Amino acid sequence: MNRTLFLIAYDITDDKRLNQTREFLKGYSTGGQKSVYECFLTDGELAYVKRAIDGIIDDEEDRVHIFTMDGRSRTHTLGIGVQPKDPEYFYIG
Amino acid sequence: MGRTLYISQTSKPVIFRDGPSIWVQEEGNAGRRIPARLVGRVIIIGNVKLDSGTITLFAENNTPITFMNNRTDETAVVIPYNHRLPDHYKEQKIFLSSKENIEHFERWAGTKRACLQMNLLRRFLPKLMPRFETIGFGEGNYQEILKTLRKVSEQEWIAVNSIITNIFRNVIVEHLLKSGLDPHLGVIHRRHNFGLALDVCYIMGGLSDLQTLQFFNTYRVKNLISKDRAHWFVTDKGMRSIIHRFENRRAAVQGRVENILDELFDLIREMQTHEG
Repeated sequence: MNRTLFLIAYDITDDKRLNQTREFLKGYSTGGQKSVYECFLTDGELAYVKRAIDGIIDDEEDRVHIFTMDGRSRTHTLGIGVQPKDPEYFYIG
Repeated sequence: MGRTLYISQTSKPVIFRDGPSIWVQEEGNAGRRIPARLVGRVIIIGNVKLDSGTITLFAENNTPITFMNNRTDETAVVIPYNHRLPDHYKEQKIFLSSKENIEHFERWAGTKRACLQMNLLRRFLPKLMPRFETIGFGEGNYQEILKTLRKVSEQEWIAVNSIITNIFRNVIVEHLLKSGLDPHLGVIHRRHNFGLALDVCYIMGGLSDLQTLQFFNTYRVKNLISKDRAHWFVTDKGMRSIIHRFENRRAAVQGRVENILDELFDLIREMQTHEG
């Protein structure tokens, strides 16, 4: 199953909607920072994520950006940042 | 088809639940998030700090967790609690309903096991196989041949083979849960916890032996196992080697498990027709 890397960033004015969006994105993200999430998604998952976030946010007050990342590009990281990865299996240790 | 999450004690990770995902902290690295949605099975090796929320998160997602150490003398499997009987529990009981059915199951399992054992021998002793195919071949022959093929002590073999078998078992339990079969209702291992999972694992013995033999082909030069006082244990490097080899063949192993479960359902239908 092919997955593409997307960066999802949000700016949400209401605490309740902010928490709902954060909780939802935690189910799809494999990295990122406090309001920027790295998500490897299939086309179907992307459509679902878009629909779900659209249902949470207020169109008049909040904004969410979904950036599609080029699969050939390499992320430059500084400090303790790590390269975004979508491994075949997860190994911690 | 979910991925496997391996957590080893090597880097002393601390793991806790964070909503629908887990958050992993390791010394010297930025925190990592792993969504439970992407994980199909979890294997925890050694003494790892994790909160109970992590276990309930995976249980909610119907994901089995295997706990083991690098000597595999302590093994535990966590599966989600379900107050209802599994979907096919009643049909499955037909295996134990008569002596004929038990014998039928044992014959079927024995044949499947022998097929996988023959695949192993075909790979390592291609010249001897035609002879076995003519004169016949039994469990005793297999164990004797395996002893000569493995070229390591019994303890070394058990240390590695048990880890590989545990990983296989985790995949088997995952598939049994998904297919609605009761993993505890075994025939060969009846009245054992995880009886059916052990039965399927018995059938797949040839595959786990194959991966163990392949491991021992290169282990000496690479320092993949070691001995402390009385016990042999697999080093971190060895564990990675086992995991890497298993993951490379995971799709094939899963295909084999699916095939065995399909035949189990066929067997149930056959016995129902015979009794009905």
